[in-house]
Amino acid sequence: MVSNLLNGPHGDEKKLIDLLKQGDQDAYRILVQKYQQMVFRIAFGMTLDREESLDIAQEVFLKVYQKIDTFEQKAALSTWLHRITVNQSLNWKRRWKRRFRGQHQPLESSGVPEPGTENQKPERLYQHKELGRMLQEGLRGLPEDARAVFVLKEIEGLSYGEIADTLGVKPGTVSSRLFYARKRLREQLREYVDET
Amino acid sequence: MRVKKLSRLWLLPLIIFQFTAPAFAASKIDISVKTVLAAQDAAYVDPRLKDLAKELKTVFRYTSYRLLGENRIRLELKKTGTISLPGNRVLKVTPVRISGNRAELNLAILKGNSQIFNTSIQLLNRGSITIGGPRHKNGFLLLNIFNSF
Amino acid sequence: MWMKRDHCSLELLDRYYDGEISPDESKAVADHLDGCPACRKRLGARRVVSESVRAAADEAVSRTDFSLLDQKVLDRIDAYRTPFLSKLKNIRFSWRLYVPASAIAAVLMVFFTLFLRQPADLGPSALINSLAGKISSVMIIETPESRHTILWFSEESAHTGEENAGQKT
Repeated sequence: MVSNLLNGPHGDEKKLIDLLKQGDQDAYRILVQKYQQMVFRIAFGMTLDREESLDIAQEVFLKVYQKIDTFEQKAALSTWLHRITVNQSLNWKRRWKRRFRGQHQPLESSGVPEPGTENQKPERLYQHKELGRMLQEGLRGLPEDARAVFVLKEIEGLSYGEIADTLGVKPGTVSSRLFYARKRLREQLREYVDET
Repeated sequence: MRVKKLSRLWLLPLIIFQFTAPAFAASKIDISVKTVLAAQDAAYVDPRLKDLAKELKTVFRYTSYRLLGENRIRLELKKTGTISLPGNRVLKVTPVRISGNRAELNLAILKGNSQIFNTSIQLLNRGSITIGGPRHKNGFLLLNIFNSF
Repeated sequence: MWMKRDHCSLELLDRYYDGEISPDESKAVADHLDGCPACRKRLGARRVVSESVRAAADEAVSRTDFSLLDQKVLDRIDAYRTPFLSKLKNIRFSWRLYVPASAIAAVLMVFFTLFLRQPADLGPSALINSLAGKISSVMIIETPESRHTILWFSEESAHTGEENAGQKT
């Protein structure tokens, strides 16, 4: 019965929440399996680190267990999870001992163009992988509030209203933070993404 | 009365723990730079480079490591120190901040008046980084930069 | 109001791209885009950034093993569940026991901290935030045991063949 909750419609969400409140182990397993990638994607957008994002995902689901009794179901479970994930990611980020991880990869002495060198051709950098690297640098530089909005919009595809609900701000604030984040990234990537 | 004594004793482990806790962040950093010439000539390792050469030999095939110079400077945060290097080069070191057990340093290598290379790193306290390698004579220059705070 | 020098403002393009404008505005922007290569290009650039961000996240997901996450979460919940206080109830507190026990614990703490501290894995000796320069290539290497960081760059005028001579394959 519990396994049906994995794919069911909204009505099943209520059943899942009821079981979560009862501390049903299978229900927590279902919760994790259903939302783990979503939680991970948001955490990754905030931290840009896979290992930390997995750790944050654990923290998020533990927080659900700790706080499920306070969840009044006025918003969707996913909205609540978004909020917890953003908060946990920000808390984690503040406790960072390292800002730079996982980039100790030797670059080949030939083949990979060094950004800013004369050999670089802008059109080559339309390839997502190269742009992705520069995007990561740009994301790192964004203020937390702008980054959270950007991640929820670009990675999760939430509407301004949904983001506003998640973060507890007005839709106008979402719009302006998103504009600011994109403006900053545009400046950072001006060399690589031709807008003119 | 008994309760008061107990509450003071509660503090004992906490007080002792504080002495083992990390000290407040330093505002000056001691930096030592060893300039090394690594080459593939006759096997030789300067005795002062024994430990460093042992590390480098796990990734490089150089057969000789010669210490060309060693400089020690003490820098305040946001102040830049300059160290002369062979081949009309200089190394500029600027500690930016200390965060936990790492210091953020900006490093720049210049040749003449032209900046060849610059990097921003977070260096572990009492740890070092080795940067190489501009060509020099029959080998390559390696700069081993150590810091403590 | 939303047109600047016969082009869409960036803010409007953002909202159009996000689907956060009224149907009338949307139609007006769509009509404008038909005849404005510059705005189309800006919109295209917006699309590239969005797709790249999503691709980076998707790639991270695809490279991550989620198979054990549910069990890890359940283990965490279990650990959280274990009532600490009920364990405490099983321990008789006596000040005669507590005083020497506390003192012994404090001494042991100092001893282990000062004398028997195992070197924790502090990570690589250096973390690289950024690098740039007149260089043709760069490698970041970490020695296997002590995790000493080596940053190797080649100046632009250097010969790459000879530079690699010193490096182990």
